[in-house]
Amino acid sequence: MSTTAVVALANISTESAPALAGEISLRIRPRGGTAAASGSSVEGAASSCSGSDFEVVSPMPIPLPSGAGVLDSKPIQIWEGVVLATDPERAVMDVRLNAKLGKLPEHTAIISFEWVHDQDRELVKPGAVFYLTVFRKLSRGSIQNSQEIRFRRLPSWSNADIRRLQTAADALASRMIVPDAPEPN
Amino acid sequence: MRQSPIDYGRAPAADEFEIIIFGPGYGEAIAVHLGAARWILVDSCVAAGASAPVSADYLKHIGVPAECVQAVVASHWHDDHVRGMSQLAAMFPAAKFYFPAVFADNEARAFLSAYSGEACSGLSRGTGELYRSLMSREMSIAVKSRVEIIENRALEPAVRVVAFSPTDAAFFQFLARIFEYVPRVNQSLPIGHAPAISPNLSSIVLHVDLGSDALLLGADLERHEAGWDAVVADAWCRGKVQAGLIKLAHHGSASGDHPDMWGNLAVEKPLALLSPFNNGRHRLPTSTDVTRILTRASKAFITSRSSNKAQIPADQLKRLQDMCTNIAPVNAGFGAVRVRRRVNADEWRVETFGSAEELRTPSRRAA
Repeated sequence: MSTTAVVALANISTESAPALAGEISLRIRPRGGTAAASGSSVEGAASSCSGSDFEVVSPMPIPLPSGAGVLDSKPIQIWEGVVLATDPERAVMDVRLNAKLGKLPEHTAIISFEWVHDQDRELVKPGAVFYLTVFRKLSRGSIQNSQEIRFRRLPSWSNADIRRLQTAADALASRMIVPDAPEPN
Repeated sequence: MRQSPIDYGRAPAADEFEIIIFGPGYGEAIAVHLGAARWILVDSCVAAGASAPVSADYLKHIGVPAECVQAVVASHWHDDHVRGMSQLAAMFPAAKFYFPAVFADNEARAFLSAYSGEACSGLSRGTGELYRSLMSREMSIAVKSRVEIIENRALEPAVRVVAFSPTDAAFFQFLARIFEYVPRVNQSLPIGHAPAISPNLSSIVLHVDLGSDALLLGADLERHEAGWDAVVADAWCRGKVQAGLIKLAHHGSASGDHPDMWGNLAVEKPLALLSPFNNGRHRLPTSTDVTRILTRASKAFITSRSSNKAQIPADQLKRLQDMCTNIAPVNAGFGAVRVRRRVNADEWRVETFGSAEELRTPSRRAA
């Protein structure tokens, strides 16, 4: 399930990463000034951001990587999660989280089932793997925080898989010795 | 958060026994010096930010050559006891590799193969590590109750390592529980995740007979008719030298304890070592566990204590807190407890490294 939070634009730096070629991005400029982003694109409809000294011109295509001043949507962090336990009564799951961007220690946390997409509810079991992505994007004059949890859906065992695992099990057998133990007293 | 490297000093003398237990918060590994430069490694874990197993790092640090390791033992297949095990299996080719005999059965081998990560990655790191360890060796030895693992005749009297478990009853209990998770032809079962099988009855508990004293390494064996109940009732086990030093089972939990374990298999008020288990709300030992342990042991030492302080940049943490509660690091601090004793000495000498500390009752700790 995705959710959105609106954050005051004045808190956001204009020193964001340049947009990638081909992406739709947004431009930001001081109110009444010239657009911070370079390029010859035609500006779209301007929407003001109350309480801010900036206004956003949105949306507009940015054809090439541009300079400072352009804000766009990007994941802040992607967490790969594993369900450790579920508590149906409290409708929560204990999870372990492993950051995919940068090097962060593993953490554990509790997440309410409310955050799980309806289509994924049946997948919430101990051991299930999911991805929790936290985004920040600028849209129509405001910064939007959004996050999403999606569970990994696994295919069924194929007969070929099962034959392969039986072969693997036989290979293990050829590598094992089982010594005799003394008889019970 | 990376900690500064630990200086472990020198290797033990030839006539000096040693047991060292490592724990980063989630994970456990043990190295035992049996005297005369002969070692066994039990279980494996990896410190935060590291890639090599901690036991291998330790032996390298104190200057022990790889050929001095006689045995590598995977006490069971849980993730917190086998991280890096496949590396250990490869790094010590001269050592024999031991695993719980429950996996010698065809059904259990199929279970291990199904959840090895070959069909779909990330199903279970524990089963994957054990599978890769076994496949990397030409031959591995299945261990069950009463099997002798090592006899070190370099010392007089000889040092003997034997297994107290898993019992035959545990073998069949395990098979009964995994049966439904082994995929069958034409069943069209969705690929799932390796199940948590509780209580843990398949762990290898080791007894190390040092002559006048003994070590009891409890792994994660839990209380059950086929677990600790069977071990403490076995006359063969009770006939062994009582342990003056115990590595507590299952991170000091009540389920890993048995009153008769203290009475039948250990001397009165033995020294106790343990590692914690930090995994979500499931954290061991609890304050009740600590109180119980300290009434039964003369002293107890733990490799690290849990911490609830998240180690995530503030902006990311704030966003994560929108969705999550109880955010806490898995590995709150790496530590090790080392205990040494000369062959003819009476007492063990304890050293703590990193985040390790003596276990205190909750009130004393708070004070």
